[in-house]
This record gives sequence, C-alpha cells and structure tokens, in this order.
Amino acid sequence: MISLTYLQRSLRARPTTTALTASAVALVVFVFSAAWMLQSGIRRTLGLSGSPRNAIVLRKGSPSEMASVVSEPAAAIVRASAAADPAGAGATPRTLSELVLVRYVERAGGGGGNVQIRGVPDGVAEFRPDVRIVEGRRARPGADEAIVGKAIRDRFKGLDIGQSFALQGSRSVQVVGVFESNGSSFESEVWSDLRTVQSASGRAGMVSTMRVRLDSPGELEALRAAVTADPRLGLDVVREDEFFDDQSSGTAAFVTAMGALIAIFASIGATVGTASSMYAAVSQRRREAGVLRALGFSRRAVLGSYIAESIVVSLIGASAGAALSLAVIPFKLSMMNTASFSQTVFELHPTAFSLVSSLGAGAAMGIVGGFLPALRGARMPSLEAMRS
Amino acid sequence: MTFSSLVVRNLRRQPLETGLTTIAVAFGLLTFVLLRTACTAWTANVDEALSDRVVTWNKVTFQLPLPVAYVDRARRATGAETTFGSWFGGHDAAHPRDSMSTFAVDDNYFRVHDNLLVPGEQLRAWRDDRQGAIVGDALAAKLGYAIGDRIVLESSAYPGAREVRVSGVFRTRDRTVDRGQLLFHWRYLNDEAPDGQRDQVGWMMSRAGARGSADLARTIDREFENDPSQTLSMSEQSMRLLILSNYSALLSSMNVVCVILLAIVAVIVGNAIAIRVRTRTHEYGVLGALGFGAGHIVTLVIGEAAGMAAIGGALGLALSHLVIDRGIGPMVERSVASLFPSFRAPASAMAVGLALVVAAAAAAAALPALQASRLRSVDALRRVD
Repeated sequence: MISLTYLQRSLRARPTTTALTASAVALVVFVFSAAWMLQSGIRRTLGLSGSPRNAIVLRKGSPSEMASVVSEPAAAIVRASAAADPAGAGATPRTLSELVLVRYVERAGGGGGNVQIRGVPDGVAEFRPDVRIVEGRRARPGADEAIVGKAIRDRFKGLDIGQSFALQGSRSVQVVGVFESNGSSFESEVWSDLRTVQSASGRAGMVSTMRVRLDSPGELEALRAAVTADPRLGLDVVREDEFFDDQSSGTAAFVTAMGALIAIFASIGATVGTASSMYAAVSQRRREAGVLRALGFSRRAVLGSYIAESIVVSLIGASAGAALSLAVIPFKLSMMNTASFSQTVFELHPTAFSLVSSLGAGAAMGIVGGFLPALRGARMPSLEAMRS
Repeated sequence: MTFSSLVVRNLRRQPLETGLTTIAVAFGLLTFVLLRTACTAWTANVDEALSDRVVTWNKVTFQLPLPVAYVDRARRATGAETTFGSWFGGHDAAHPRDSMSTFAVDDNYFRVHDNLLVPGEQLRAWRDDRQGAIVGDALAAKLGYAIGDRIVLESSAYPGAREVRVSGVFRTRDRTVDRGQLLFHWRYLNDEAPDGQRDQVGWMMSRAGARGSADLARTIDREFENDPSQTLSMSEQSMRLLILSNYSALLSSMNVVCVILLAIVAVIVGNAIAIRVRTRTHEYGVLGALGFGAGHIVTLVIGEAAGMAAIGGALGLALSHLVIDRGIGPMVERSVASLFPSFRAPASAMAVGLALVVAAAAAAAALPALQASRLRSVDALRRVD
C-alpha cells in the first residue's frame, strides 16, 4: 500500500483544487443535511404532540382537529364510555374536550399566517402535565384571557404577553402567559378557555375533539368499540401519537420529496465535478504514477491511493457541509402544516442518522467520482508514463 | 484564426474534463430549474387569480360557515352577482385512495366562475338534476367518469353517503385551476345535512365588475358589521396571497437553496478553469511574448468558463425539459393536483437559470483569469512543471 503521507502531501500540493473540490461536496451535503434535519424536525415536533397513552376522538374521516366537530350529546356518550373521572379538585381528568380554531394573524415582520387557537377546559393543566408556564401565569377559567406557546410568541402581532388580539369582532382576548411543551406543536398554538372560544365563535356546546386517557393499551379497543358501535355518532377513535404522525406526513413528505430530488440531482453534479478534477489530477501526475509503478507498487495500490485521495477530499467537504448545517439549527422555520392548515414552528433536528448519512453521501461521491479517473491513472504503463 | 475560435479550441482540448464539467453544470441547472418550478407553481395561482372576484368568509376564521341568508342580503346590498359554496371534503367511495376536491355550490356558480368552461347543454342538464355534478376533465380522465355515471360520495365533513350523477365536464384555459374538482348542488347537500350543519355556506364569491373589488368588499363587510357573524371580504388575488404568506418561510428557504446551487456550479467550473490555467502557464507565456495583452488573456480564460457553462446550461435546459415537463411534472399534477394544478418548468426560470449559471461560471473564472494575465512572459516560459 502507498503510504498515507503521500496522499496527504499530494492533496497539499494542490491546495486550490483540493479546497474547491471539497467545497462543491460541502455545499451539496449542507443542503442534503439541512433538508434531512428539517424533515426530522417536522416529525419530531408533531410526534411530541401525541402520546400513546391518549386516545383522540374525532369525527370520522376528519384530517385535522380543526375539521372535526363533536356535538355535546356525542361527547356525553364518549365520557360515559371512558372510565369515570376521579373525584376531587386537582385530580387528573380522564377526558378532555377541546375546540380548535384556525385564525389568520398578521406577522410581526409583515405578511401573516394561520394560527391555531385551542379552547381548553379547566382540567387541561393536569391532563397535559408537560405544559409549563415559563412567563406570566395561566389564563383564569371563564375569563377572556389566553396563553401563547413560546414558539410563536414573538412571531405574530398581538401574541405576546400583555398584548391582546381580537377573537371575534370587538371581543378581544388578553395574553397573560407564555407556555412551553417540550418542543411539541402545542408551542405554536394559542390556548384560551373553552367557553370563551365557544361563545366567541358562536359554537356553544360544540367541541372539535376529545382526548381520553388510556390506562392500558387494551382500553383503546374497548373505547373504539363503544364509540363506533353507534354509527349515527359518526365518530372515530385514534391513538394520539398515530394521529399526529399522520399530521406530519403531508408537510414532511413535501420536504422529503423536494430534499431528495435536490440531493440526488445536486450529488450527481458534484460527483461529476469531482470526477472532472480527479481526471485532471491523474493526468497531471502521470509521471508520478509511473515512478510509483517502477518502484514496484502494484496497479491496485496506485488505484487505491487515487480512490483514497478522492474519498478523503469528499469526506473533508462532507464534514464541512455537515458542520455548516449544524450551524443553521438556531434558525427555526414557521411553516404551514398542511394537515392542520395552521402555522407551526419547526426546528431543524439533527439525528445521528442524518449526520452519518450526510458523511456517507460525501464518501459515496468520492468513490463514484474518483473510480474511473483512478482506473485510468493506474492502468497507464509505467515506462510510457515516465517518458511523457 | 480568430480569438473566439481559440476559446473553442481550448474547450475541445480536454474533451473528457470539459464534458464532465458541462454535465455537472447541467445537473446544477436542472436542480435550480426544479426548485424555481416548485416556487412558481406555488405562487402561480396568485398571478392568475381574478382581481375582479371578491371572496367573503366568516371573520373569525375561514373554517367557520356563514348563514345562507347572508347570500341574498349581500346580493341586495351590492347588486353584484354572488354565488357561494361549501367545502365537502369528499371522495368517491369506490376510489377511497384517490384525492379529489369536492364542493357543494350554488346554481349560478359557473356564471361567476366563468373560467370553468362547461358546454351549454351539460350545464342545463346539471341545473335540472338535483343530484347532478360537474367534474373537472382531469378527474374525469383519472377515474374514468362519463356523463350519466353515478358516484357515491363519502365525506369527512358530513355524515352519511350521497349519490351524485355526472351531468357534465368542465375544461379551463387557466393553468392553475384544479381540474380534479367535483362540484355538486349545495341544495342537495343542505336537504340532507344534519341539524347543526344546515343552511350554512362555506364562503361567498361575488363579481366586482366596474366598481372595483375594494369597494365591493367594503360594502359587503359593512352590511354584516352588526350581525353575530361578521364577514371578511377581499379580492380573490388578496386571498391567495394571504394563503401563500403561510408558506413564505418555505419559499424563502427554497430561494436560499437556489443561491447555493449557483455557488456549487461556480465552484465546479471555477475549479476546472483553475486547473486548466495552471497547466497552461507556458502557453500564456507564449501568448504574452507574441504581444497579446493581459485583457486578451482574461477574456480567453473567462470566455472558456462561460462557454463551458453555456454548453452545460443548454444541456441542463434539455434535461430540465425531459425530467420536469415529461417526468416529475405530470406525476405531481396527477398526485397532488389540488396543491400544484400545473407543475411545468417556466420558460422564464429556464432563461434566468441559464443566464445565472453562465454569469456564476464567468465570475468564478475571474480569479484564475487574473492570475494568468499577471504572469510575466519571461517567468511563465521559464517555469517547468
């Protein structure tokens, strides 16, 4: 085998070429890695909103919470099918009825977007213990007050602590607190009292969805059987985590498809670019290769050294690209979640898999781009090469 | 021998490297055009929307309905031609996996939406049939609907199943109209709607005519100012802009990626040119000794880069046409017609893309060109590789 020192020195001998070839790979890997992180960020944000311990009851076929309507009589039947609520104040309720609205709100920096507004009943703090107030206080039951998720607080007009926004006509709701929820999509919502949202939207007695706490996985089937037994209710029961998984599929699919196409086409471009510069490197070094062969190194050793060189250059580029993509993580993306038709703030979420596959893609570009030039370089008869 | 033929000869000297670089440029441009196509497809419906039409929603949110009585009040208050519809969220029970956009609409819907072209006798047949439905030509082709076919519709918004009959097929000249729609009578939907959903409409749509959409929108909203459900009216164009603003972050990140792609092209071409310049030091010395000035050598190097990018760009445009217009485009139009009714590479994006890759390549060649021109002939000729 040809020593690694040779490899290192030959890369250093052509610093511009090495740097430029690596940069092309770096830029491609950057786009690849960023798209991948966004896709997993979308899945994570929506995935965290659902728990396998909860069931969600909504109108059959509703693609989102917003599109679902559950009337009060139907809700009463669901409550009866679930195990009874424990008695006493502060106890965790077994069911949670909520009304979900989507409203267009102007953005702080111009433009605007749809914001999901959730009318929540009294027991919500106990039902969703992950939701913590980080500033201000909780909204008082029955008051025209609201709390906002920390992801959207400074992104929309009127949605920060102390400000107020119009829910309907002259009826405005004051923001009294900011909450967080482990980075789930709830952090992109506004929560107000259920009765406030119901009366402001003229939907008294109506809710969008119900959550039911499951004590054991078996309860889901029992609940489903009870709720779907009466087809006139037109309701369906889905496990909460599966529901939010479905929610993420639309937006995530667009990002994945677009990201994959860009990654494939751009990688072909970068691979061919690598091949082009490797061909140039190989033909510049005919004499060197001839000397190596004359010294007794086998063709395979020369081939291996050229390919190794190409892989090293690509890996340098890929690492730089991946590192660069980690640097853009602080930029969060407020984007329409196509399933819920509302703005959700997504983070770029790096995973071990995304980093490894970014480096893998870089190495692959090096192998594919370097192989044919290396073959040409290794095949050259040594005497002829030295004479040239 | 002219100066430009020197550029061409230089390009042909290393056919393999030149070829590979042009292919790299071609794929760079393809990716660029693909992204621009997605952006354009996304924003195109704003450009094609009629500013002459005014849409009216419930002011709280577009998802809440308006009482049907508002329609006549709006007609009386404005004298404008007004139609309405409700989102039905339906699918063909026989094809549950195929997406379609289903709306229950008023009888005069096609008079206001005159960009949906339905033959006169089909339109009359639709009006006379309580269960009649008009389908888009793309939907008819996809699911094989013919006039007279019965379709059982199921909905995610209304309980139960409804049977409709195909009375006609609409075509359109607009590229951004969703041709995967099925439109049936609101009356029919309303007759069998459950109590909580009866006598409600999703939105109203009015023609502004000469008075202008801003004035019409104001008049409508003023009419319902003191009612329990207030309205929000705006031109169809403003509405689409509003929907679009929800995607602004995605669109701007796609623009950032476009810039990165140009950088990739610049780096690849710049690299190829830098390598060439280094191997031709001797030649530049000769050119200099023959009396060619620095300007000539700069032109020679940049011309070669631009030529390489132009060839690659032309190849990329052909590739874009093949991959997007013949491959991805029709696939996207079939599967997500409601989001992207038209997904074709726009000529403007192709032209701009070509110009930008050539410019990027020329800019990337500037540094190697400058280095080549600065060589003193004596040094260049003395240097041994």
